[in-house]
Parts: sequence; C-alpha cells; structure tokens
Amino acid sequence: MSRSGPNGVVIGALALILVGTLYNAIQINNTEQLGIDNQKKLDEILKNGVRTSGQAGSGGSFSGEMVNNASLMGEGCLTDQAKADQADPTNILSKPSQCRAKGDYVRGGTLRSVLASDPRGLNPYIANGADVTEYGLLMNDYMAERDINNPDNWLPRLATSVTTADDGLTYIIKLQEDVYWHKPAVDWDSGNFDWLKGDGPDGRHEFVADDYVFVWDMLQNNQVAGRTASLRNYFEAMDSIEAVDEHTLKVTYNERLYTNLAMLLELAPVPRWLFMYDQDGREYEQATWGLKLNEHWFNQRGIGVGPYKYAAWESGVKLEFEANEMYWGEPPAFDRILRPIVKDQNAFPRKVKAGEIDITSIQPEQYKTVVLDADGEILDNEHIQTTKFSTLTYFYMGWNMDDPKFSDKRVRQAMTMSFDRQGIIDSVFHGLGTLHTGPYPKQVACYDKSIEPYPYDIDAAKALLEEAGWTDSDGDGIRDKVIDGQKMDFEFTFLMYGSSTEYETLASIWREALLEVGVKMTPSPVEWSTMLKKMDEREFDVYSGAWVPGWDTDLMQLWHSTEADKPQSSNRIGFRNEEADKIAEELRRTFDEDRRTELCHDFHALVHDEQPYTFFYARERPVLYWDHLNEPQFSLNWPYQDKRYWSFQSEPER
Amino acid sequence: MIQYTIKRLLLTIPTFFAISLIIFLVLNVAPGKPGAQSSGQGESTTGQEQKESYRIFKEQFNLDRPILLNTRFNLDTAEVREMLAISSNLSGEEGARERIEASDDLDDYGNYLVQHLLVLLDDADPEIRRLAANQLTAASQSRFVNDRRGDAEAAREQNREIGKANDLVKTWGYTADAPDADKLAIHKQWKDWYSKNEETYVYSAGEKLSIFFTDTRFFKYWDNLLHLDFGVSTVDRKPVLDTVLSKLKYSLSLTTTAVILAYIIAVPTGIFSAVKQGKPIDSVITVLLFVMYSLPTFFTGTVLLKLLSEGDPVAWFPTGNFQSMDVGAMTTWQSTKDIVWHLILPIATYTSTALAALSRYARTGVIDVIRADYIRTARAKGLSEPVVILKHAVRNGMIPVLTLLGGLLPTLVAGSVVIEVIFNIPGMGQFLFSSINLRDYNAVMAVLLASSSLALMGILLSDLSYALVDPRISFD
Repeated sequence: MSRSGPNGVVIGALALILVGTLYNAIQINNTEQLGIDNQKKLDEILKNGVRTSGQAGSGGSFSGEMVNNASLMGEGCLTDQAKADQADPTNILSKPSQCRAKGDYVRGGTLRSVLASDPRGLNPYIANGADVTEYGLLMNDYMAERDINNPDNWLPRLATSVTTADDGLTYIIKLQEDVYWHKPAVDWDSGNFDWLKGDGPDGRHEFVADDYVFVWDMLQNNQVAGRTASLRNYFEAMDSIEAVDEHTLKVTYNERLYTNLAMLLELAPVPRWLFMYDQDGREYEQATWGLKLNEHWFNQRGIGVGPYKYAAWESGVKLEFEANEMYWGEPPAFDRILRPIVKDQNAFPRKVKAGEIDITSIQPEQYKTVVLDADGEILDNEHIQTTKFSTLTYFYMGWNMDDPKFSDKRVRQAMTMSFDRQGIIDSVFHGLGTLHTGPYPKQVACYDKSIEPYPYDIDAAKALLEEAGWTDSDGDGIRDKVIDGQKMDFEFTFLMYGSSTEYETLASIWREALLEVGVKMTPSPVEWSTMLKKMDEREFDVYSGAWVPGWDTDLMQLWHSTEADKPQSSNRIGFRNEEADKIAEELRRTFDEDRRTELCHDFHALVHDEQPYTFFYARERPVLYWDHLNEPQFSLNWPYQDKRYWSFQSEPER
Repeated sequence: MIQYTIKRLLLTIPTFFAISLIIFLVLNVAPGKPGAQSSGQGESTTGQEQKESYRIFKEQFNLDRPILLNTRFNLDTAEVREMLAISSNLSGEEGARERIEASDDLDDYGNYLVQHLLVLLDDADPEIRRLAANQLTAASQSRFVNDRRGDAEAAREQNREIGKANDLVKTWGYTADAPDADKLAIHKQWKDWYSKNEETYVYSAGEKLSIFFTDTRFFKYWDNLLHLDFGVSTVDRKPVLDTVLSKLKYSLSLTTTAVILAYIIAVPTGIFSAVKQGKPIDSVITVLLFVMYSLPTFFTGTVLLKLLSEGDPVAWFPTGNFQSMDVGAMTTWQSTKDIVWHLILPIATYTSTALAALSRYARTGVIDVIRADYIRTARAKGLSEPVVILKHAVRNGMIPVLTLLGGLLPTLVAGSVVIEVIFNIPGMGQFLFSSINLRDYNAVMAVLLASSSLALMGILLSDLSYALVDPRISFD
C-alpha cells in the first residue's frame, strides 16, 4: 500500500495531463479546421464574385470561365502600347502568330508537372541550368520573345519597339509602361521589410529602364559569377546600356555581330532595389556587391514582372508558382503551377497513373513499356494521352583529331559508316529521334536537309580504311599501319557517359561492327566529372557528347581553330580547318538571311565531309498527359515545354 | 564512472578531428571539382564561364588554397617562370593537361607569386615579361575579408580599402603589340608599387610557419567550424546547416519509427525462436527472416509500390513523398494522418531488412543465457516457464541487443539513400547522394560530420549502458 500510494498519484496525474492534452489538441484542431474553411470561402468569394455556390473542387478553385481565344489572333493579345508601336515600320519586333493559350480553355486550376531535381537557385542570372531559365521565364519576361511558331520572329514583350538608326551599332528600345514588379515573397507582417516597399499599387515597384541598366552593371562586374559569367562572353561587343528616360533604353555596341540582337532581346530585367541590399536593407559596398550578389538572400526565391510569381520552394519537395493577378499582358491560364520534385525518374509514369501529376516527359525505356507495348490504353486509362516533341539537342561522337589514327578524314568516315545509327535509334532509343548530319539543330534554316547521312555500310568502311593505309598485315584480325616508323594496331577506347544503359547497349553494338571492320574498340564508361576532366585534358580517342545549341548557333566556339589551341575549350577534338574558320568568321558579320543560309549550308557540307564528329541523332522526347489538358503545344526553342502556352480543356477530376 | 565518462568525452575530440581530417582529405583528393555543370546524359550547353569568375569562385570557397599544408612560400622564380611558359604554351608542344595544370596553379598561388613575378619583369624573354605583368594583375589581388561574422562595420571598411587597392592594379597588363614605351611604363608602375607593398609579399620565418599550417583549406574549414559556420553550398549557395536541419525531420521521422518498430517486432520473435530452438517453428522463422534480410530494399520497395499503390491490384497508399502537396489546407491532426499514410510503405521496407539481424541477436542472447546455471536454478525452484524466461532469461539476454542501439544512431541521421530515393522522401540520404555527385564539399562534410559525431556519441552511450545494465561490469 505504501508503495502503490505515490505511484497511484503519479499515474493519476499523468492520466489527467493526457486527457487535458487530448482535449486541447481536439480544440486546436477544430479551430484550425474552422480557419481553413473560412479561408476557402473567402478565396472563392474573392475569385468568383458574389454569385459563388461552393462547387470548387479540391484541386484548387476554378473560375469556371471559358475563354475563347479565337478572336485574339494576330495582334489581339498585344498591349495597346505594343499595338501602337507596330505602326512603326522600322520596329524590329513583329506581331505574334498566336496568343499564349491557343483555342478555347478553362481558366484556373493547378497544373501539376513533375521535376527531376531541385534547381540551383531561382535567380537566372546566378544559378546555371536550363531549368532555371525555364522558371525565370514563368516569373519574368524578356525584352522580346521568339514566336513559338516561327522563332526567327521577335514578339514585343517588355520592349514594345526596338529600332536602330545605324544598322545595329545603336538600338533605341521603348519599354512597356505600367508594368509592376511582383511583391517580393518576404514576411511583410514582421515589419522588417518595410524598406522593400515601392510607390506603386499595393507597395509594388514599377518596372523602369534602370532595371536593365542594373543587368549591364552585373555583366560588367567580374565578381558576379554563375550564369552571368557565361553570358559575359556574348556581350563583349557591347559598350553600354543607358536609360534615356524611365521607359527608354539606348544600347550601344563597338562592333556589329550577328549574335548581338538575340542576346540583347533575351535579357530579363533585375530589380536593383532588391539585389543591391542585404536582408536588413543595408546597401552593399561598391567593392564587394558582385560577390554578395552570388549569395544574395533572395536568390532562393524568385522575382519578376512575369505571368506567374514565386509561391514556394521546399528543397526536395516542390516548387510552386501562382498566377500574377496584376500581370500586364495576357492573363495566365492557370491559378497555380505546381512542380513536385521526384528524384527517381522511374516513378514518373506511376505518378501519372495515380493521377498525382497532369503531364510529364518520360525516358525511352518507359516509352517502350508504357506506350509502345501497351495493348489498348496507356496505363489502362483512356484519359491518359501521349505525344512527342523534338529538341534542339543533338548527339555525336567526337574524334580526337590530334591523334594520328584519326587525323585522316577517310578513317573518320569509315568509323561513322560502321556505326548503325538508324538501327540503334530504332532498337535502343525506340524510334525517339532522327538521324543528324551537321552542326546545327534540324529546326533552323542553316541545317541543310538535302545532305544524306552516311549509310551503315561495313564494306565501304573497310574500303576506306584500306585506302587510308590500314591493312591487316599480320593476320590477327585487327588492322594495322606503320606510323612514324612504328607499327600500330587500330585500337581505341570510347570514352562515354557511364550512367546510361542505352549507351552501354549502343557501345556493344558498335564494338561488334567495328570488329567486323577490323578495328578494336574498348568502351570506357565514366562518371560525368571524370569525363569532363578527360575531355578538357584531351585524353580520349573518341567521346560521346551532346550539344544543346540555342536557336542561333555561333560556330566560333566549337569549330574555330583558335579554340582548338586553347585548353578547356569547346573545340576539344582539335578541329582545324582554314575554310571552316573563314566561314565561321564571315557568318558572325553577315546579316543577309539568304547569304547566311548559303554560308551555313557550305559549312554543314564541309563538316559532314570532314566528319570530325560522327553525327548521331537529334532526340525526340515522349510525353504522357491527362486529357483534361488541352493538347500541349511545344516550343521549337527552349523551354520546349513552355507552360505559359498550356491550358486546361476542362476542370480536372481530383 | 564519472571519471571514465570524462576521459571518454575528452577522447572524442581528437577522434572527431581525425575523422574530419580523413573525410576532408578523401573528399578533396577525389577526382572532379565543385562548380562543374551537372549533366543529364552528357549534354553540355555552349556557354563557358569566364576564367576570371572561376578564380573568384575558387577564392570564395577556399578552393585555391592547398588542402592540408602550405609550402607555397618556398616557390622559386625558375618554377614560376616555367609555369608561365607552360600555361601559355611558349614551346608550342605542351599537352593540354600540363597547360591546364600550370594555369590552375598560377591562379591558385595568387599572392605567393608576386615577388617572383616582379623578378620576371626583367626576364630576357619579352614574352615572359609580358606574361609576368599580366599575371601580376591577378596575383596581386588581395582577398576580401569575411564580413558575415564579428565586427561587420570594420570588415566593410576594410573591404572598401581592399577593393580600392585591387581596382588600382587590375588594369596594369598589356598586350604583345603594345608599344615598348608603354610596356616599360607599366613595369615601372609595378616596381614602384612593389617597393611600397614589399613587406606584404616577403615572408619572415615566423610568417612562413604560420602559413604552413594556417593558409590551407583544412585550417580554414576548421576555423569556420569553430564559429559554427558549416559554409555555403557550392550548388545553391544556401548555408549548408539550414539545408541539413530542414532535411533532418524527414529522415528522423522515417528512421526512428522504423527502428523502434523493428525492435518491437524483432525482440519477441527472437525470444520466441530461442525458446522453440530447434523446433520446426524456429526453422520457419529463421528462413522467413533470412528471406526478408536478403531481399534488397530497392526490390521490396518497388514491389510494395507496384502492388499497393499503383492500382494492380490495389491503390491504398500514395506513390511516395513525405506528405501531400497541399498541406497548407490541413489541420494538425489531418496532416499527421497524412504523413503516417505516406510513411507506411517506406517504414515497412526499412523495418523488413532491419528486423532479421536484430531478432538474430535477440535469439542468440536468450539462448546463451538459457543454458546458464541460474536459469536451471530458477526452473528447479519451481517457477513456471514464462516467468523463468521473461523475468530471468530475457533481462540478461537483451543486453547485447540494447547496446546495438548505439550503433544505430548515425543511421538515424544519415537515413537510407535507397529508400529515400524510391519513395521520394527528401531526407539526408538523398541530399548526401546528390551532394556527392555534385562535389558539394561543404554539404557532404556537414552530413558526414553530423553522422560521425552521432556515431561517437552512440559508441560512448552503448559502452556506458553496459555498466548500467549489468552491474558486474565496471570501468573504474
């Protein structure tokens, strides 16, 4: 009794506390529920006006407004200012061929599209990566944008008019007025960020010419690293960006180059009032602001003047954008864009099937099991559709031309001919690609479609090697040749990216074919950082690579002989050709489109004949999507999956 | 006991230091460098970062310093001359690798080059003279001081001065076709400048000793560590500590639950099979456990997902993630339910592999004890079998199983890479894996140091718990 006494008291007290806590928890929970319900109602009322009848689905409320875009073709979706500036015949910018979301659509809802990795940041001037560019475009606008249907045309965005009086040495750019920056995503209630408030409506800052002058300041400051550092090379011909007045820019160049205009027009503005200050609102030192910018506290969030604004980024979980209700241009088609982060790409089809995402691109192997091998419906669901889009990326094998074995173009041609490219596209990549023959993406005029790819022809390859002096003199099945007084067997290693099963299969197919020709090839799969090092140090016979070119391809970096002598340059293969140099230099300064096409085609033919690369294929990427989306339209240029052009056909059932 | 604990605690300090040294060395010596572009399938974009910016990047992350010991004050002028010649390929026959190495070295040596470059301004070869002057513009740049800690205002003031000094000398280079008079003028500028700043670039014996140990990556890392600064990620430039802490909740809730669950299941099973030792039911349990043990987690995980969440046959569970995406609209109770619902499959996968080993330990522990004399005594004095087993045998038999807990501590933090990837849980395992791939030194160091300090704690705790559980063991 004496022992259980105090025990009883303790247990009783504990029980009491437990009951109390439980009661408390239930109370709090109910209050939370109440709060959430009220917030929902409030959102609906704000969204739909007074006539709401609580029908909103769980996947985000729909305005239910059908938008008919048929009447909005041509210049219909331009702002009044841009329309007026179209009257100026010297304006470089032209009318759009379509509005963003095409055809009829339902405005609202959440678009969910999966993401394979976290971005390196959300400031596209600091963080490198194509994905960052894509998010940058959701949140911000360029001066002008390539037309989705005809990327050679420039559409007015933040610039309504771009003119040049002296043939491209000076540009006068008129900027769109009445544009406001997003309100930065900070904790406004804390009162610590009052210094960030602007003079515009709701404490926003107006977008002005100085936001571009700041970009020029960043480009000039060597301390600013990351993407700005890569961009810097393309702005060497630029002298200055000056603000003539609040909405007019003057841009001057010291040399007229073909790439100047595109690089300029695809600049997005950066707010000086945010990025020149630390978290407490103190301005950075003139001596170190460039360094500070690399680690700026706002680089993890995003800001812009674009159709969607930053909502949330939880590392490894999701990236989320919401519609900018004050967007100055065409209103965005979705309420939210949610990008759940899923690191295991094998899981993508599973997520589509479970209805957790609306659209995703998939891997070739998945395309085979999910789409090609599907008897009947894809993933057993009639609402899941598939489509493909082509990319600018082309794959190739680069030959080390400083190696005496590969300095003869006949040898390189023979290597290409013993590589069954079409067969591999069909069997290994399941038809997701087309043969490629030259240094340009297929979509542009520079690519000469009349050039026939080398055939897969073992006998021709043998003949070419014989011609080049490679014979099997000792009868061991491997060809040999005497080079510099030394007998050399034709053996080489194939440096390739190791984490790709497709490339493993490809290498063994090629290896077999080469053995038949009398050449011994050893695949050497390595991890990317090792591969990069070996390529920089030119320690390879042949490597597998891919280029992701832009719409305009400047040939200097990849093909000019001066680059071949620089270590760590992109001309890793050591391609030196006088005629190629001449064309590359001339193309930089040629502006007549017909002459350009002529020169490009000459270059294409030259490179095809020389085969410094075994040009392989241009990739197509398959996509799975739910049919509550309108059939997605893909851009010819990056970002291919431009979500600003997508919309819902009907409200998704969730 | 207390004395022993203190002794052990003190011992953890050098152990931790040694661990950090080894991890740091392995990490820094491994091929690959931070800041390189990641790649999906070997694609590369055609943009190239400027050399100057990469130099600044290296400087910011101390990557230009030697890893462990610094002997750069011992350079001699001939060496510097050779590096200049190789990096610019004056002989015309240097390989790409040598040239990259030489020019990287020149970048990294920075201030240590100044006194030698000054001598080379008078070299017989005009090319070397030009290279020396141009290299000086970079080598004479002083490093900005860190104004993130300590007296920020003084640091700002200092940085203003450094910035001014750096800007002054930045432009004192020239091209090969510059007129001779200009070249000479610049040389003179350099010499005047050097005579004013000479003491900064010539080192006394004491300074050399200090440089030898302190002007290194490892020292700077520890210097920051002692200020509780784990550094900034080279990938997303966020402070590493923040990221690690945000990942911790995911890993911890997964692994602790799984480990507790594994104990709850494994211990009774182990006792049960010990009691039934040699009987068919024991063999059945043994076989079952070994099957579970030998199924790799990626297999179990994928099969569970396929069967229970993809809809063939059923879709009871979500296809991964830690919780639903729209947590904002949930009450605490709902979101707890939501997390549990999401974690059932990953926990089941984790537990299934952890089970087998634990229950084997439990079984052996009990079997060892069951043969002991005092158990025979207990039986002899007429106690019922359950009392004999549960009260006498299990208590002592469980000692090894309990002490295993100590060893499990670090896995609680480091998580399980495979499970986190398959079930898309954004925990430490996933983070560690991707950081290694991206050569994010600071991130990898932070995760590994966190888990190794826990390992040290775990070992200490398990040693101490021996004494606590078993009075026969004493450390004094």
